[in-house]
Amino acid sequence: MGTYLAIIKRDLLISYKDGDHIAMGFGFFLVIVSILPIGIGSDIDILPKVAPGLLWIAFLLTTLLTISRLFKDDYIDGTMDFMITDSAIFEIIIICKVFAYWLSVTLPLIIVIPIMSILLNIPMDLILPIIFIIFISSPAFVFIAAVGSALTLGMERSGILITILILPLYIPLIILGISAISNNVIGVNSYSVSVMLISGFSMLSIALSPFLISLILRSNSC
Amino acid sequence: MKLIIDNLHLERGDKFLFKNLSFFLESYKPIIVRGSNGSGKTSLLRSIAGLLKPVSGNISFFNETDEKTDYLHQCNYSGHKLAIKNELTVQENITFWGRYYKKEINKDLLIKLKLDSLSDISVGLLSYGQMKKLSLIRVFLAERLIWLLDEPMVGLDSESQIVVKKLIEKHINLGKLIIITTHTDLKFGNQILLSL
Amino acid sequence: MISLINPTNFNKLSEKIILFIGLFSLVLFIVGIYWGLVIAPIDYQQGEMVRIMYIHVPSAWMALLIYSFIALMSMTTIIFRNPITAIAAKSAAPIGLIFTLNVLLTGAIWGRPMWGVWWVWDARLTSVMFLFFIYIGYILLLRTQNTTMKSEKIAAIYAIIGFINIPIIKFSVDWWNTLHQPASILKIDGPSIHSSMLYPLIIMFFAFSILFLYLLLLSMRIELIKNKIRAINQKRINDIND
Repeated sequence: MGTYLAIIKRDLLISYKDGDHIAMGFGFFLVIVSILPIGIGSDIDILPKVAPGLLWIAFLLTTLLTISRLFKDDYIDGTMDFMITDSAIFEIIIICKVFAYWLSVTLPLIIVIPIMSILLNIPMDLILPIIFIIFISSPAFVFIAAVGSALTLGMERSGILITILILPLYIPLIILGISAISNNVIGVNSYSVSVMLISGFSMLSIALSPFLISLILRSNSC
Repeated sequence: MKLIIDNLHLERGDKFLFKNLSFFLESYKPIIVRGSNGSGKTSLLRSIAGLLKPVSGNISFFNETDEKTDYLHQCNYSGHKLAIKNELTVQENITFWGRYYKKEINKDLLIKLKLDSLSDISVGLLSYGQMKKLSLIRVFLAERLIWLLDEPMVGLDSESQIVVKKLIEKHINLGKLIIITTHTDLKFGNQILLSL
Repeated sequence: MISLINPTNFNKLSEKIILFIGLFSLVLFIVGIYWGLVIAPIDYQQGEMVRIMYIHVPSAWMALLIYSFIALMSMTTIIFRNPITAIAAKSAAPIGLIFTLNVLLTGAIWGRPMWGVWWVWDARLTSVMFLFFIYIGYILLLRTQNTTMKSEKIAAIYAIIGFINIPIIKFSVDWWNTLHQPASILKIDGPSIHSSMLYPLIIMFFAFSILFLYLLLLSMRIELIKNKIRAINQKRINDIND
């Protein structure tokens, strides 16, 4: 247990010290969300309708563009070398690393969503469901994105490639998430179905992607 | 205790390194590997550490009671990649390993290697020799059974070389296993020289 | 089959049959196109526009078939580490990409007079579009310089992930549409097809398949030659080093 906690603590400490990187992701999210209403036109009727989707897409893009360094730093400086073959379970180390990433990058985004929702004229009673849906789908986002990060480990400037590779994998989640929010608006019963499916999706990604990532990272040495 | 390397054939990328390499590693008999650049010294250590898959050949480990067991988690490889975090201070790096390996840090070691006064400095500001010493501390701290040291003396001043050599000798005298690659004329008692 | 797995035998065998395969595909195309575009009857609803089906539908089948082929070859590459299957997957990808692009373009041209729009976000169309993106991602993974491992291997892993993902996309978009759009807006499935149209369609399908085989063999041979050149250059570098 101490081993795994050590990894979470270390990654959080590095995020804290290397704060510019985190701030960049955060700033990216704010800028994207703010620029979209300007592109669409700040029509008071249209904006609340498309705003949840906009938040959603901005959230995804921020995740995909900031995750490329998740395994790269440990790989380049050789830390991964002793973690791969060590007695600690590598899959759990991966979960710890992704969790630390979630805490330092994703959680701040979720916290700032209420403010962005107000800026986008989203009705007050919708804000809580939006935060809830994004919160329960964020593990799936992060763990699937981490697979992309592992796939592009040996490449420079991999952020854009990760986006191309991983966005198609997000479609079910986007559809479920957006429909959950809009069902909440019109009061259709399938809201709880969507919530359950999203939670299931998140659980599945937490369970499966560490094995996939470990397979990819282990076959990296050549 | 024995590590047997049997008919090893290694390639890195598409580059052929060597084949039919067989030798074994025993207690009290450190192996020193020499060879020119690109002869595959690093790749040999990495393949023993399980980080590079050999094209063919076997590496097997027999413990004190001559049973064949898994050995990868008992290895500690330290190479050109120093496995230290430039963003963190010296102390923070060491604290992380202490927690990771669940081991207490020996303050004497830091003093001997002249890193104690630098403990609050970011690693990125250190000289290469100091970084190399820091990265070796991880190996000394983890106290694994098999050490695989790739050029441990590179960049170290002569005093530190003596300290590191003593620590390696202590490891050997405990009956633990070690393979070292080197360019310098590093010598240990009972050493076996392997030329690639 | 086993003799095919060796690159030398593959070269010999493919050299013998490649011209024959190319000619066979050409003959099938001549027959299929003439039958489909001239002999086959027009549709009472769609008129002459129905003839685009003879290109569109076989392309769609090929797009899926080739991706399945890539996924199968990738699986074999990972399990058996066979160099030929890795080359086959790699060579098939650009061909599949072109077929997929063909589906999207001919579909849009067909859709404009039929539905009044170039594009609808229907499950089938959306999944083909994302199949296109997965092809692009796969090819980019293969082509991007990778310092840590053979790009064939990561691309193979991605191909398999994508293969699982395609039906998931299809189902989720279907589910989305049943929630948001009543089925009456669009009905893309045509009525069951008459045999006078089915036969030329099948011939076109075979023509496309054989064309794929021809192009595949051709680009695999090119890939093998590239590998040979790379090996020779590597040897030259090694010789100087020693």
